[in-house]
Amino acid sequence: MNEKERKAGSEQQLSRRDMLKMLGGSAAGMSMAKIAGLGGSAAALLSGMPAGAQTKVEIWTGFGQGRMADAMQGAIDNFAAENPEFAPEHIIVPWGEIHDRVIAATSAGSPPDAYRGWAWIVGDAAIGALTNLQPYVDAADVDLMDFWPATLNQMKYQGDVHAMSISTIVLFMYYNKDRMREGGLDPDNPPKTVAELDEQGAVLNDIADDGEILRLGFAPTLPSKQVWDWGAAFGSQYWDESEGNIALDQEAWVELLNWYKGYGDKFGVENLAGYHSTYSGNGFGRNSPQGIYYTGLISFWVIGSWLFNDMGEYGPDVDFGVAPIPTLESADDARPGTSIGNMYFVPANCANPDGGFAFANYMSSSPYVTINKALPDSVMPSRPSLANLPEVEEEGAWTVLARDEILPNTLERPSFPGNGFLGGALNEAVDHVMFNDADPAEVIADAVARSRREVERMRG
Amino acid sequence: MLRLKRDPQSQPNSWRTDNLPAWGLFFVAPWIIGFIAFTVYPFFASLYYSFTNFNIINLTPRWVGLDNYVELFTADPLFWTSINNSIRYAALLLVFATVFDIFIAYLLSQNVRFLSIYRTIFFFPVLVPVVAASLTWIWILNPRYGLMNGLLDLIGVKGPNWLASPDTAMYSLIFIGVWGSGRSVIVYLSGFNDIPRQLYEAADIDGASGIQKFWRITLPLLSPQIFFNVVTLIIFSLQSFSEVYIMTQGGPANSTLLYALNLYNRAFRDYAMGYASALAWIMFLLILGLTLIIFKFLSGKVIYER
Repeated sequence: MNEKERKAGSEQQLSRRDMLKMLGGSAAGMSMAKIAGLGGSAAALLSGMPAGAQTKVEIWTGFGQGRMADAMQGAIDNFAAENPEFAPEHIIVPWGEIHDRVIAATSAGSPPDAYRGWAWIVGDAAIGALTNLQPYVDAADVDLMDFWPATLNQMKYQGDVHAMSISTIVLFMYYNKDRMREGGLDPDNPPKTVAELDEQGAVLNDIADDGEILRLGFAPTLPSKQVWDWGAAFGSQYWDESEGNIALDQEAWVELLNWYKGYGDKFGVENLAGYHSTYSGNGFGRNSPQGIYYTGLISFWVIGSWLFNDMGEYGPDVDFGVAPIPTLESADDARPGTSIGNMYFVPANCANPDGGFAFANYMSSSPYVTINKALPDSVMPSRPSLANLPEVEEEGAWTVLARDEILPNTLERPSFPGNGFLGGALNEAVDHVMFNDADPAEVIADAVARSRREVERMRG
Repeated sequence: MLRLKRDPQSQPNSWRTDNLPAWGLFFVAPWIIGFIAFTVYPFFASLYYSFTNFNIINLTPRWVGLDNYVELFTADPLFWTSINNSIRYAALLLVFATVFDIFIAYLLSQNVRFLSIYRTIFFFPVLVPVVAASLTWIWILNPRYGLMNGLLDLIGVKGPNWLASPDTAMYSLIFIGVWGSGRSVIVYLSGFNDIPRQLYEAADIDGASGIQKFWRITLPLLSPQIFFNVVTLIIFSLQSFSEVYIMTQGGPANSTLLYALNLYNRAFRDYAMGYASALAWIMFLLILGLTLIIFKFLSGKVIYER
C-alpha cells in the first residue's frame, strides 16, 4: 500500500458510533434487499453505507497450490489495491468441482460473485445460470474489439457478453527432442502432418515382446483423446450458426475415428489402456518430476500451452519443443486444434454483481495480470493489446508461436448449450470404435443425434 | 402448553402420562420436519419433475408429459447400457458376496485363537471411507506398479489391466464390493452363533455328514440372515455410485456405467433434472419390483422359529 492509499484509508476511519450505525443500517438494508430480492449493490445503497465503504467480492478459483496460487493471490491483492471499494475474498475450489459447486450454489441462491471457468460454460446462459454482462460492458465502455475474434465469440451467448476472458488456451504438440535424437529423428523438424506424426511416433515406440508398452512414441489417446482438437485437425466444424445447431463433418469424423481405431489395433487396445491407466494418476504426474512428460515415457503429445512452464519447473533437464498440432493433409479446412477462452463468470443472482464484473473486467484487461498471472500460467492473453506487450514476447518463443501462428488459425470452440454433452458423446464414440469395434459412421451419427436432442432440451 | 405433572397417587419418580403423545410428538418433531422436508417432499417433487423439462437453475419446469420416459426407453442407449451393467453388477455381487460372507462367517464362528483379531480384520473395510478405499484400490490395481499384479507376477502370472479393460473392470468392482461386505459377515456370524449346538450334536448321533449338517441345519436356520442380506445387498448394489465414480467414471467404453452414475451424469453434468428424475423413478420401481419378487418367492422359505 502506498502513502496515498494509506492516507485515503485513514480518512475513512469510522468512530464506534458510526460503526454501530453502519452495521445496524447494513443489517436492515440487507434484510430489505433479501425480501425484495435485490442484489448486494442495492443492499449497499439501502444500508446507508458511507461513500467509500467496501463491499465484499467473493471469488472462486482452483488456483490453490504452487506458483499459480501465489500468482492468483498477487492478482487479487493488486485488484484490491486498485479498487479500494471492493474487498475481494478468494476461495479455492478444486478445478474438477468448481462448475458443479457454482451451479449448486447458484441454485441455492448463494453463488460467488465471480469464478474462473472455461469457454464452454457460457452455454450455462441458456439455463439462466449466468449474469448477462452486456449492460456492465456497455456502462464500462469495454473495448470488445480488443479481443481475439474467436475468444469474443466464446464470451457471448445470443449476442450478449456473458463472460470476460483473461486468456486463451491454444494447444501445442510437445515433442521430446532427446527421444527424437535417440530414435535418429531430426528434432528441428517435428511432424507437421498427421501422416508424419504417425510415422515419427512409430519410430519412438518401445514395446516389450508381449506387447506391453514400455515407452510411447505417440498415441492420440494419451494423455487424453482431445476429440475437439483432433476433429478440427481433421477438418470438422462443430456448430452451424445459420442453423443454430450442432453440425459435424461426418466424413472427417469417420476418418478420425478410424485413425483412433488404427492406434488401438496397432498397439492392442488393452496395452494402450493399460499404459494410460498406469500413468494417469494425478494428471499424469503433471506436478511431479516423475510425471510422464518429464521422464521420456511419451515422445509426442498434444496438450494446452499451460504445460509449457510446468515443463521448465518439473523437467528442467528435458530438451523439448512445441509446434502446432499436425493436421490432416487431405482435409479442406484442417485447423491446428481449437482455442478455448479462460473466462471469469458472474453467476446469476450473486450478492455483488458489480464487484463480480469489476473483478472479471480487471482480470481480462490488466497488464499486471497478463505479466504476473497469465504468463506464469503459460497462456496467451485474450486481448491482442496485451499479447503485444514486450513482456509477452520476452517470455519465450512459445508466446510468438501461439499468438502469430496458432491463434489466428484455430477453430473456435463454440459456446452452445449442451457442448459438454457433445464432448462426452464424442469421447464415447472413440471408445466404442476402439474397444467394441463399432461402425464409425453409426456411432458418430448417434452422438450427433443425441447431442442435438440435448441442445433442444437445454433451450427448454 | 404442555406440562409434566407429578402424579401424587403414583411412585415418587413417575409422571402423569396425560400429555405423553403430545410430548412424544414434540420431541420427534425435528425428525418429522426433516423427514417431510428432505424425504417426502423430494420424493413427490421428483415424480412431478420427471414429467417436465427442468434444469436446476430455472425453477419453472415445463410440462412434457411422458416424453422423458419415452426417450429413456426408445432413444437413450446409455439407459439400457446402465440397466444392463447394474443388474449384472448386482447379480454377481450378490452371488459372490453371499457365498464369501457365509464362508468367512462360518470360519469366524469357530473357536480358534485370535478370533477377535480375525473378526476385526474382516470388519475393517466397512470402517474405511469409500473415497480412501477407492483411491487405495486404484493403486493396488495399477497394471504395472500395483500390488495385485506384483503378487501375480511372483507366481509367474501376467496380471490384467484391472480397471482399464472392459473385460475386467466390472469384475474388479465386484471384487472390491465383496471385500467391503464385512457388515453382512457380522449378520451371518450372529446367525451362526444363534444356531443351537444340540441340533448338531443330535445330527452327529444320527451319523450326518458335514455337508448334510450344512444343508439340513445350518442353511435353513441361517435363512433369516440370508434373506435380510440378500434384500439389502440388492438395494445397495443397484444404488452403487461412489466407487465407480471415483475409480472408473463408468469406463472404459461404458463397461462400468452403473445406473446411479448415469443418473448423476444426467442430473449434475447435463443439468437435465427432469430427465434424471424420470431415471430415478425407473430405478425406484425396479428396486421395488425386485424386492417384492424376492419377498414373494423367498419369504415363505425363511425359517424364523427355532
